[in-house]
Amino acid sequence: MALKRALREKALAEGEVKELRRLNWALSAYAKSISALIHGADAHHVMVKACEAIVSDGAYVLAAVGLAQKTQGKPVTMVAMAGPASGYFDDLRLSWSEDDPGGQGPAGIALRSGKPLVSGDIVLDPTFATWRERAAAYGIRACVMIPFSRGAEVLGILLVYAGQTKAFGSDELALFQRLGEELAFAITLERGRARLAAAETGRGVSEARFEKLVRYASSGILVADRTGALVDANPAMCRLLGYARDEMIRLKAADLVRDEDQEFIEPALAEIQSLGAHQGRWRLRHQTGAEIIADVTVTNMPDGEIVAIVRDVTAQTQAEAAQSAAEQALRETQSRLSRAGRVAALGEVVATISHEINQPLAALLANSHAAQRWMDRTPPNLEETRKSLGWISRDARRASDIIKRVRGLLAGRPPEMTSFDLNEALLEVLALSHSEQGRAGVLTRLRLAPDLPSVRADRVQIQQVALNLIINGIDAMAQVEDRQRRLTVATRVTEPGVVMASVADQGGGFGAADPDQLFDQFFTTKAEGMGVGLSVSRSIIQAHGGRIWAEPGDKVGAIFRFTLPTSQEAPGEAATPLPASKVPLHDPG
Amino acid sequence: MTQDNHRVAVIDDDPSFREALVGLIRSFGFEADGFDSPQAFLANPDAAEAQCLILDVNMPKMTGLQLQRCLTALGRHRPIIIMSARLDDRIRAEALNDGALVVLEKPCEEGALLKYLKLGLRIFD
Repeated sequence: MALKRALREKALAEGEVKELRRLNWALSAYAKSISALIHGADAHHVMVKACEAIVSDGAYVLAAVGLAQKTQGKPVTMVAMAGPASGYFDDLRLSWSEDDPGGQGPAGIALRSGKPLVSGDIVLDPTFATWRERAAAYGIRACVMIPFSRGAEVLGILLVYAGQTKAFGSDELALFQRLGEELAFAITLERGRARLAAAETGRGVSEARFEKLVRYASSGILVADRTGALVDANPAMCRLLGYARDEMIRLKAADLVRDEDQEFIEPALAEIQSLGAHQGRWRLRHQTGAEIIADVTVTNMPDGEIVAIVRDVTAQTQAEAAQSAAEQALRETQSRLSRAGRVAALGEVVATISHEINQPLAALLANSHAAQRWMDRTPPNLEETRKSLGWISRDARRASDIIKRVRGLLAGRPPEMTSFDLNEALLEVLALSHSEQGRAGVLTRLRLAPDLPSVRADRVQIQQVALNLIINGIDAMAQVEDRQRRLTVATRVTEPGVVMASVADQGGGFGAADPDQLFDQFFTTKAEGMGVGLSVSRSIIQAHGGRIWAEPGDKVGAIFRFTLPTSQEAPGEAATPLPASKVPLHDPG
Repeated sequence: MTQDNHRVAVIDDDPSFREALVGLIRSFGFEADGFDSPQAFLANPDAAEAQCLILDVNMPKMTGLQLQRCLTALGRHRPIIIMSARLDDRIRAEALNDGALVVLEKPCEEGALLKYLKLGLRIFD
């Protein structure tokens, strides 16, 4: 009996000792984990400590912590482990995905359910079938899976393996669960720290980046205090206005503004005060006094300082101004051209020509009426009828001649070098411009040299030049009221082999203009513009080996002269007159 | 019917039209004289016999409208027919304001010309 009791007591005592030892182990494991946590160790360190504390009891051959990843395939990554059976996890792939073979074991099931799972004997546990042999090789007989989470988020799992069956009592389970909670806390804490650190680091980076931005910004950046004294300026700002930084911060904002814009400072400051910001284009003063045009954005800071971003637009503005000037010039040219175009427009030419044709047609009609009336007399007056019919023939021929001349002028035929009488050609032109002369009240005086040697040239082109000069002369006298509007057309031989024609008007002359400039393209002293015609005229005359120039008239007006070689002197082979099509018929503008 | 006592002066610097018009007026049965300029007309003592004038507008030195004013100023009032190939409202208005009988465009229909000539010559039939 005594032995039995003694044995029972001994057993009790042994059980007590065992129990006490386990309790000590559990407390010590917990304490080690908490201590690691309290001492600010990272989560990984806490996990390692926890695993080490667990396997410090020889009953447990392996303790490990796996993190439940949310990435593709939901793998469970072992981040800490301890114990003699650690090799068990080598090349072992665990998952907590329902669809993954690696997720069909107790770890996967526990992670998915979020509840601890005890496998008292892995030999009997069908979910362990896949890893049974491998586990046996590492002396594993039982295991417990403790998932831990933060709120609804499953973070990871504590895996503890034992070498014997039924190794996990309720105390052990409770301990493991508390350890799991601490691990969850450690991970959460670390994440918070990481976020904090990331934020800290981010701020450092952004501050560095900001400084870089300010330092290397192509725009000028200025800081001024509320009195307008400059506090700081970035290198671009200093470069822009030609100051060193320490020179600049001794200035006031107003010192940077040119005199022309000083008056706008007050309103701008008022705007900054009331609206908190101002944007505008300013004329700034470079240290040398030069003008810098800048787009300035000013912002009022909460601390009362003012930050200005200054963008140099001087070059851009100059380019704009240049472009605008170019556009203006283009518009003026276009306007001149269109004036010229209006005057030389086909409509104008047609009007002139139709009037020329209208005269003989009007005469023809009148003669035809008269002829009929003479015929209708009783007895018919045949003599008068014949006279009228004769006039009709003459009028018809005259109309036909005008049309031929016009066609000759308009047709784009190649230049035709012929020998002709310049006087005759000029008389034809005068006849063509007869109505212009009449309308303008101009009296034409002829001083044509008799026996003028014939010239060799393109007759039509020379006639175009003459027409230009005659129309010019008529136009030049449009405003003349105090004297006779007289146009003098003259020809003479100036030297052997050279014939000169001149057209002199009694108009206003050139004023202060250089007569030579008249022949430059687009030069004009009149609103109607004569330059185009004169420049083309010069081209034609020069192509014929002649000269064309202008000089002031005797007392008033202007004289235009051109020379041409005579047929004998210059056969004209070298001459290459302009194609007739390039030359306007009637181009007084 | 004799209309020899009816005399018309045509002042136009275009010779062919002037001759044609003189011929047409003569075919109407009136006497007609042509003058190539207002000056020639004013200088000719026979011109005073004309009872009606036909004036071209565009002539060098003096236009038809200037001649019309000149005649008014001289007190030589005659019915005046203004004729031009280039007419605009300004010329019409000026001519009519200055007392022209009518303004006709060249070329004109003989019927219209005859009508106004008769009017100018005070022929009412």
